[in-house]
Amino acid sequence: MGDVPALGQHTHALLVESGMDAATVDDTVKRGIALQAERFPPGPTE
Amino acid sequence: MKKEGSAISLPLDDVTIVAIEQAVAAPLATRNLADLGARVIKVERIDEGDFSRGYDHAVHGTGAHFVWLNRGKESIAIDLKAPQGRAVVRRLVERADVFVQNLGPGVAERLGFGAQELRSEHPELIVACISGFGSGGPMEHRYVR
Repeated sequence: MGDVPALGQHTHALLVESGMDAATVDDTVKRGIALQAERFPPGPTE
Repeated sequence: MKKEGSAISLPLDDVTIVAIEQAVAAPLATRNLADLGARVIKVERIDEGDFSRGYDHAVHGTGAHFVWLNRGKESIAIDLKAPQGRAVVRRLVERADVFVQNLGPGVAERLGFGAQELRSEHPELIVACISGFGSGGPMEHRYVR
């Protein structure tokens, strides 16, 4: 049984998994197309 | 493949599910699959997410229904009205084994996530579409919230 996710907790990692490079991920979040949960900032490898 | 930190293997350990889901029906279905080991990627709206998050504030500010139905899932918050947002989900679906949705009547088709369209591009994909009032009856076009 895993934890209950915060809204957008895994957004950054999943954008990367979908094939986006880091710059495109940042741009997608900045433009409001995707939301990363503030309490869960992306890790150094994401 | 075992989930990280898990000492035992589960029947659906190698199964990935992408779910555009909210409220109860689809989240309950995928919660059961997550409990059996599946990786569940939950696609949520960027504004308030699954609206069951706000049904009440019983569990540290989050709705009890949401907590009950969404353990063990991954959450991506993305705008499906934006082409770029839809493209992200399409790419996640391309790598998945199962797609589940309980959007309102006709919404999945309008967004490009209709069963026929997805299966035409991904014949192995299992597609599950859950509606509030079924299909073919007098209430089939009604929304549930």
